[in-house]
Amino acid sequence: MSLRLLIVDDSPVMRLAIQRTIQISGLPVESCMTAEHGNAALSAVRDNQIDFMLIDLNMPEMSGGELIRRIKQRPERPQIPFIVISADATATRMQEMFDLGALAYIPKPFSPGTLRYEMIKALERVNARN
Amino acid sequence: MPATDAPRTLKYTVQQVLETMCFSEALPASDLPPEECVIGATVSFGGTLSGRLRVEISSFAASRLASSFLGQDVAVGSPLAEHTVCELGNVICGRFLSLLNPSAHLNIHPPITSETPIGDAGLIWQNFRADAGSIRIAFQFDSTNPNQGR
Repeated sequence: MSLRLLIVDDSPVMRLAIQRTIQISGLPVESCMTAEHGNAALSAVRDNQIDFMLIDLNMPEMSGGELIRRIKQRPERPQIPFIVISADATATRMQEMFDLGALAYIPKPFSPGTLRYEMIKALERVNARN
Repeated sequence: MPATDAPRTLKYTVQQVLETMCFSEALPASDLPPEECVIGATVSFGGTLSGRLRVEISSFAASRLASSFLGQDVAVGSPLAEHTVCELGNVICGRFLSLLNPSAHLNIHPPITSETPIGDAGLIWQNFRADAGSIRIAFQFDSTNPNQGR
């Protein structure tokens, strides 16, 4: 299965770094869209078929947590698996995101190897469900 | 790492972040020569812990760190260097606060580039020498106790 990914992060350099890591990861990626804030992510999800998301939490206007809640409120669409990537590595925040359905929580800073490993594990869980 | 000492935790955090994100070594320095061109960013945070982080990186060092982070050449003065300084500030802030108080409720605001230094009151700071320049990190808590809310 070739994945259509959406990366949501307000930092242009983080979006670029994640894209680069995924490009060289060997993961079966068909497309890798990016969004710089929650509203752009909602538009991308509405207008495109997205299989998997990587979501930052601390963003202006709409936090990653709020974005996840809004996406989950679409009963007519299947849920989109997601991983959270955040500088906030507190147990409180991590538990909150797992309660919202995050398949993994990657605290920043992370190495390219960690991102690849967590994505592979998350995709295995998605495939096991289907 | 047990967060028993805020300055030590800050030093550890900065070195870990630079090594992991930029594959770069940062050596603590007690004193730094004045830099003519510096990129500065401030990150405010609230919640259980509240205050602000200030990061200042010399332009040449910022360009070198951005190049390492992105795996491409980043020219001195490029917006990518500025964005990298902001993201380093964001990551250092989150990592440091998470180590200080793992059970905190944090609200870390997006970084803003700014030339304005933060005040001296209650400041925790560390200087580093990196490849091609200097890095100065300063933390200021709204309370004088950096472990507030623990």
